Amino acid sequence: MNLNTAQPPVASAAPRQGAARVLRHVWARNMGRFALVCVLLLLACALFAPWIAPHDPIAIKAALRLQGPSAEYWLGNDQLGRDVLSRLIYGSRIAMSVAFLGAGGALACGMVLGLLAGYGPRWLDTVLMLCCDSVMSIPMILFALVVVALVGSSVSTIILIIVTFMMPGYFRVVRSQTLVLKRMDYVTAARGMGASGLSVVVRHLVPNLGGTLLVLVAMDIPAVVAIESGLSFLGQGVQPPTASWGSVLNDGYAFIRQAPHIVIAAGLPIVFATLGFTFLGEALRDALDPRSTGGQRP
Amino acid sequence: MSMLLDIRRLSVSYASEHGPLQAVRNIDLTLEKGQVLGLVGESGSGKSTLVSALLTLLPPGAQASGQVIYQGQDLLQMSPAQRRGLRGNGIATVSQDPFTALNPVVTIGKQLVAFQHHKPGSKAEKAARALAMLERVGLSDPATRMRQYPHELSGGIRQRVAIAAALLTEPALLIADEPTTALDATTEMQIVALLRESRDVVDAAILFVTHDLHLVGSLCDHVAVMYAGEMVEAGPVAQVFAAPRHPYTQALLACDPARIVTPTRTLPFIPGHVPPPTAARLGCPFQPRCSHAFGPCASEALPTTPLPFGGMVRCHKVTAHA
Amino acid sequence: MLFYLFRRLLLAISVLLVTVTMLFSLVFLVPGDPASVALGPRATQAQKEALRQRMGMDQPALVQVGRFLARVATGDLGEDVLTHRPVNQLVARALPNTLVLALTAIGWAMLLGIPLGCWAALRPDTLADRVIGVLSTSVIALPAFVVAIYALLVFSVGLKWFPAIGAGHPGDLGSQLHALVLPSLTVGLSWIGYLARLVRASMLEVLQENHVRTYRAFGLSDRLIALHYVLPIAIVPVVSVLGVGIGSLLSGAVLTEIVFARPGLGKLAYDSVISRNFPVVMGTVVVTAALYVLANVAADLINARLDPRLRQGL
Repeated sequence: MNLNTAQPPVASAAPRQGAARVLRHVWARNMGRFALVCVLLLLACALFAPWIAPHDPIAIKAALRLQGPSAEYWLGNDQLGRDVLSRLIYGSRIAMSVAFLGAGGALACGMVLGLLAGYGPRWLDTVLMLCCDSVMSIPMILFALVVVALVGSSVSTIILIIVTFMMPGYFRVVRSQTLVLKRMDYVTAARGMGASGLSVVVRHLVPNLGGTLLVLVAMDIPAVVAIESGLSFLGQGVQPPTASWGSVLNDGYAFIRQAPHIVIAAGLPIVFATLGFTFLGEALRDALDPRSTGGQRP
Repeated sequence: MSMLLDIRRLSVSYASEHGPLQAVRNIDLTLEKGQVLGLVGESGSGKSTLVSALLTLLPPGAQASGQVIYQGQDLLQMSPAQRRGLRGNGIATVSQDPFTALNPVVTIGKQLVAFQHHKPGSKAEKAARALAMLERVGLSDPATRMRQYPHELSGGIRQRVAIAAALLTEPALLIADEPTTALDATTEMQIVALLRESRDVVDAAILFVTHDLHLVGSLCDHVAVMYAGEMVEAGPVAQVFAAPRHPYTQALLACDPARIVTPTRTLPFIPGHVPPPTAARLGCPFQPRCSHAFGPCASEALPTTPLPFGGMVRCHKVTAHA
Repeated sequence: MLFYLFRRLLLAISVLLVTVTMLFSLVFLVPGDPASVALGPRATQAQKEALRQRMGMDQPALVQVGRFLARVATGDLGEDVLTHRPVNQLVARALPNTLVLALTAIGWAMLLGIPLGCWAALRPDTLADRVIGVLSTSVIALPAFVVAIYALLVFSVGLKWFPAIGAGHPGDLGSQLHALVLPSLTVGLSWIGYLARLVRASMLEVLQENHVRTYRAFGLSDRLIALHYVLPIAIVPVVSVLGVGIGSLLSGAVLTEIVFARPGLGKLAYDSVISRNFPVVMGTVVVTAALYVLANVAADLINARLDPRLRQGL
């Protein structure tokens, strides 16, 4: 149909909007509200764990071994009599710090490498793309297990693994945007006037990609939470007696018949964290760019 | 001759964020059996919406009023199932863009068989008819074409296939919606010639939609000119081309390079823009661009003046001089 | 075709090369020494040296990578450090279980995800569509092992419908299939949601294309058009995504195998990690990387079958 309505040129970038406007947009949707509540609660737990947690997460009380939920211990006690609720509250500290450091580190490294690949020589681009494809082909959990077996497990090891595996997503986005920007007229113009093309690209990259990257981070956090809790569940993540959602789940898994309350309780924060951040990402994406309909990879 | 299509006071509007957009306004148009009618207009004149209405393929948000009477039945009053029964079975179309009009993952042969789903007969019979039709539309080696995929064929050949597909349904009304716009000039003339010949193959009236008056002259016996959703002039080609009454038709004809007698370096054009299809409109839509505009043009509703040989024109100036 | 095979082979080699290099370089990057980790804090210096020599770690890193790859190229994955059995044999025994699990999971995903996405695409922005959207997004986000544990708790421990552990009795197909239901659904769950979303988006896009209008203009029913002429095109990205996503699918399979104690590649890798059986671990990594490349080749071939336009690239 040839209606004579003048279409505005489709902007390649998410329009820059005030944070308040974006938040209002997120809050206006049911799933967005659910996501915001989940995320804020988790962040509060992580930040204020010592004040919120009713008991000491590592205090062993043999008498309360595998006790079900009670007025004193809302989510019951584990195989050492420790308070499950307090362990989960403290676990959110590990989960959130790994999530933000992991996703943030991946974002930073991905941006640097993406810029290098997009702006640097062709061979470097080829090599980096090949590496990126390779990383995406390896089952992360298997690789993580191997690394942990080789070097021992610690929070920094886990973060390093996560950065390695989350990087390709950011790398691809930044690289393709750099390739687009590199060919733009104003970059050529700036270079013609003696300015460094790279600096022009960098200056335009963030405003053009800010929204996309923010959404990517929100969508990646569930995967990061899954890796950390998965590794801890396998006993290869955070080491005892430190509490992590995965390790509480692992404790409960061994007693799934006698004391199912432990696995039920330990799974919930993982469920709420993954769902919360995913729907936050979706709501952010809709708020920043109502046209897109894409999905994320599982 | 008997009446095949009778459009009476057809209006179509779409809902939009900025209020309703009226793409077609109060159109009257008739098409007789065996007639070839050229429908001319610029982008935004509403001709594509008119075609969609005839194909009963208006988008869900569109509001149509008036009557579109095809063989005695009003298309606008039909149930969806009845409409579907007419599409590809009486009314057929050749679409604008041969490069996207065919399914890319199905062979030509299978598609030509599928298009005949209203017709009786086995798959083999339909395939045989498709093969014969491909030959009639002038394709070399039709058996190979049947096994090929659209992307393996050139634009001209694809448009021939599309015409063959339409002819296979033995339509009473063939709507060719700018069938040559996407093609180069040589191919364009071949396709127009093929459309002319296709009248010998099936006994169909053809509605040839275009923005190119030159093609209308070489193919059609009647012409209707649309501007900004309204029909401004209609009549036999010979008459309209020889003595255009509406200033817009006159301007269009003046822009046709084939009609320019005095050598010039600059091609003539009509200054200004087509008015937007926002609902409210006073007077003649062409008034802002018209060099003959006077008093009533800006404020009074357009009159319809009948012309000899079944033509008509809608212009205040013509009425005033009549 | 030759060029295509060459490119795929190159990818296979590079995947292996990068994987192994990354593994080795991480070992150097991160503080700690494999031999000390493997032997525990009380091992003597001599014991550590001996182990290093046995694992070939006394050599420079590049030599280690090269030696390892050269051996893999001849089809030899090495020898189990503990039992001295060939790794090939261990992997060969575990692989079928994992393949069955992964393929069944993909089966569930296609069986449920594609119709759901298709159904949602035909009624966009209705309540049903939105519910499917939220559910798909949810199951994509949930980690497989959490789903596995909840499924185990409800259906095996609680309702006792399915066995909690193992892959069924050898030779008894019925019990093997019975034991496969929960794990495969667990692994496939996120893929059901993912395919539903993907097919929906892809269908909506293809439905906008001009040829759909042509078919409607010829009076074919919307249903026939959607199933016969739109879905085959909409499914092309699904196949590619499955090919690329086999890595994350195997990730889910590893954890699920551990939760349900199924003797597959994931369980093998995990057990050998626990026992610090380095050659077996590397063997499983190599095999999964090879699986990934194979899955991509399969996806390309299937897509060439589905869309003739893609045949020219092969």
